[in-house]
Amino acid sequence: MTRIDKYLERYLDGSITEQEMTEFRDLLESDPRLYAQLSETLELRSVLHDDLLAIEVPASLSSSVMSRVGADFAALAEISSESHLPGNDVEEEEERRRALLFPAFISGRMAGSMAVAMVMLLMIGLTPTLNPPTESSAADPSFIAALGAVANEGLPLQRSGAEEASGSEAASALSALPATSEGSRSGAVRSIRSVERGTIEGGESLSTAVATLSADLSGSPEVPVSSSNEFFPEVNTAELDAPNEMALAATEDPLTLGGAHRSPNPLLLIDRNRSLLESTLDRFDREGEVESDLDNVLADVATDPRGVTLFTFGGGEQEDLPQLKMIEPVEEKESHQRIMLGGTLASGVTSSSSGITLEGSAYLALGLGEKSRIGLEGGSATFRYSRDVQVEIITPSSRVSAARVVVRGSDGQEEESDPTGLSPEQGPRGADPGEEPRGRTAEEIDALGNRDLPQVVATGEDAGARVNRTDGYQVSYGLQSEAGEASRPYGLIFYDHTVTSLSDRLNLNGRLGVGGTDGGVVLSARAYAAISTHQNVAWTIGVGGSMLHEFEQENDFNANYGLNAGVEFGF
Amino acid sequence: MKQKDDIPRSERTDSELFLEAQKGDAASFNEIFHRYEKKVYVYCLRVLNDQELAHDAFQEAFMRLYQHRDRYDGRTFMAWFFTIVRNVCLNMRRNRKQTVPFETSRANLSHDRMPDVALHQEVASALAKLPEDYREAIVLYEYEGYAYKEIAEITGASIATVKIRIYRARKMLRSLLFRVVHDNDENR
Repeated sequence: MTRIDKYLERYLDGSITEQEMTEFRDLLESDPRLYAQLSETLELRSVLHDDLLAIEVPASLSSSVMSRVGADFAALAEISSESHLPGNDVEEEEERRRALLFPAFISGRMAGSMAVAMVMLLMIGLTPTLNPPTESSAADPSFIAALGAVANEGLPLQRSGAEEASGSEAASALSALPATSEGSRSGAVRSIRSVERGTIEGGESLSTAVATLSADLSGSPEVPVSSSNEFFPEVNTAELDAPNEMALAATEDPLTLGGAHRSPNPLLLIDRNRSLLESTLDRFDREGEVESDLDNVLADVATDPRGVTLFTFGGGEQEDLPQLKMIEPVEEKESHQRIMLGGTLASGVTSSSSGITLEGSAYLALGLGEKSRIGLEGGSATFRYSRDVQVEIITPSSRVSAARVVVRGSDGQEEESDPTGLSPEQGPRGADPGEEPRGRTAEEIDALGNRDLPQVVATGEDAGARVNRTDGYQVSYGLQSEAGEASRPYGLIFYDHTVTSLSDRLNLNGRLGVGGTDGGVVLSARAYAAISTHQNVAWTIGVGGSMLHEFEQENDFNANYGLNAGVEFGF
Repeated sequence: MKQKDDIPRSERTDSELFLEAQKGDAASFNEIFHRYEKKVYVYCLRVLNDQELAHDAFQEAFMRLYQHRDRYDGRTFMAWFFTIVRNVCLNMRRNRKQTVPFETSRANLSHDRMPDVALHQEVASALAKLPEDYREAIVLYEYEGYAYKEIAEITGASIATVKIRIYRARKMLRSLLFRVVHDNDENR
């Protein structure tokens, strides 16, 4: 932000001082661009103001929310006045007794829910002997009550007085029910419509609608109602087992993000391919589109031992249900305990060379939460190296002065002779007279099987052993310093962290890794953006680098760095 | 000196009204509702950029106001309530399946401003292109009229950060709405 920008902002928010205003006015007069900028900003404000005026709260939404929440507040007056009646000493005594049963931090609705849950658990234990599982119970009042309680849990706005029931009550009541029931397709469809209307218009309470549904399920064979002893695979067990929103409401701080937990709602809608359509009825399509084709699509209603009621659609002529919102069952895993498999290609330079390197890696990551994950990475990276290698220098013996070889003959006599058998002027056998000393060529070295030996220029200056060969050459052995770049396999463990999310699909991340390669330690760091193009696919692009420290080369840190890009898949 | 009960509700502070509502005074809640309904709705609509989610968030925000009524500690009601609204919107956004393109509904526009539908769409589209932090800051500043300090209190960011976000949001909007701004200017 420049000084001019500061003046402009202060002018706009009214905090500009008199002195600044004078300077600002001078600047405006002298700089037409600044004047234009101010003019545009003021116009922008005007545009935003017009936009604000054009927005109005829909009347139905406004009246619905005000009446319901207002009624909730009004009900507090009754509770308050009742609490001061003399007879309420009994309630206070009951409160004290409850405190003996439950710890202080478990109060109110939670304590009540726990008490009901305990009673229900006792009832569950007795149910098999009282009510055989094969018997129909759709019209059972407890079933209706349970569904009503579930409905209340799913749509808290419609809770009121006697209807109020906790999620644990609902779950317990449902789980106490026999697993099989008979039902009517048309009745169920009608009731779901009622549920939908209840949600949209608030005319009919959800509990009433679902109770109607449960009543309609009896007496007609049109809908094959099945039961399952297995949990429905679509159901996220963790979600169902999580504390419900009602309980959370009693414990969460409104100023934190605790409300991110979804209410476990035992009413599920799936299509015939068993894809989860909706997990809560109150989130069912708000636009009323559901009503259009429901008549031919409800295929099955089933309840599992946990009390999860599953409505299956897709039994009619309709091939699919484009008018219903689809929910991918794996979605909840997206940012939490997920396993991701990815790969990266990188290109850059090493710290010692400007030559371009190409590297590749693959990794397996495990999500630790919304923003963190750890994983293993393996790949190949290019590093500079520096080391001493042994070289052979071959020199024609004719150029070696005073070289003598003792040749021991087969008769045991030793003879000292000129190893070349030739005069110095003629040169060695096989060598051209006057040939210069030479090192081995790269091809010759490769032929010897030592691929690590580099191409070197032998100067004959290296000290070391010398051997006169019988073919007329002298071989000198020496050490020569060699530097170059080599691609090395490595493995490391890494930690990823999402620094910020720029949108639902774009995150900025950092990765730190430590691992090893043959004879050294590798440290790796990377900053990258991840762009989700599909639910389970993300593309990555970023910058990063690695450092290598070799144990045998003290003080020899070297590194590479460059751009990287890749793709990863979630499971 | 006027007794507290003699002061019309319309002249009472938000905090006073909410304390009355906590005791079961529905009329006080209604007054608060009227003061905040548009602010909450505009915030939800412009921050979430999704009409359906905005409706859900609007309901959820007032429901939580009731649910968490006992946690109000007497500080600035506006900041406390908007923190709830903000958290509701964050949760909604987090649970959103995918970004739904904003489509203006005529039902949401006042009848006397129907010709501004195009402007409404352009502004919504431009706001949707801003980073979420910037969008929230500019909505709270320009639409809700809150001061830097109040926005900092709501968002949990420093005042300097809020200023920068608003500055950058404004800069981006000037660019995104260049044509609209200039048309508007010429029509005056």
